[in-house]
Amino acid sequence: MQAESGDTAGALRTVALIEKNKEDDYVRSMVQASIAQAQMKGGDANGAQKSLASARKLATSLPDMDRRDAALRQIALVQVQTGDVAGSLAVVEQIDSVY
Amino acid sequence: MKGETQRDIAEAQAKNGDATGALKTTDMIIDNDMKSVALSRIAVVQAKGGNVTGALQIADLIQSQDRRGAALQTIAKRQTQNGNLDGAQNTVDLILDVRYQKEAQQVVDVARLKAGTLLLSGFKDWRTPTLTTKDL
Repeated sequence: MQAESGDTAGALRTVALIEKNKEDDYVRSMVQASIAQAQMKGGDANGAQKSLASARKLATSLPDMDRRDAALRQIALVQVQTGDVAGSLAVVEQIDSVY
Repeated sequence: MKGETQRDIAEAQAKNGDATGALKTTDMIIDNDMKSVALSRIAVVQAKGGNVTGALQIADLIQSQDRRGAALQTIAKRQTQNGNLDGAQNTVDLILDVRYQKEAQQVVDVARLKAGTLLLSGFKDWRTPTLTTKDL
């Protein structure tokens, strides 16, 4: 909600408050990807790239393969919206499930 | 999940005008059905963007008759909207999936009736008439 309303800085602070454990990393990763999308819409391309990098780092550390793939898919789809097709396809390569 | 993400990326590329890139991304998809879906979506994007020739070329690459039929149906509708009824009929004739063929044929027949170029008795005899007067 914060990210969608344009308060991406507030949204990032909220993400930092999410309790630090591996299960929450999935939520943090997905929220970071959403924030990146909002940042991109707001014209903050650099912020969007940072958020996507952070989201990707969290996603790749997830032990649950399904969640990792779901988070990486979300990141790849946001990344292609930023115009970074090569980056998006690089994220896709990290997805384990073929289908 | 990799395949469906590649499919969605390819569609996004097509929407951004990069059909060549979209086809390259589609080539990376291992699953043939997912590849057909991706090609169908790219063809639809092309058709809706007005590039009917490109859309038909892409539709020709689709292996799945079902997905190919869906793409060709959209292309035929676009041709009908553009007033190219002969082209639309040619596209309809390429559809092998009966469901999509019938729906597409109905669109073309309605357009022809409205244009006055098809009499109700003028349906091709091998084709079951798909229209009633309420369609007009």
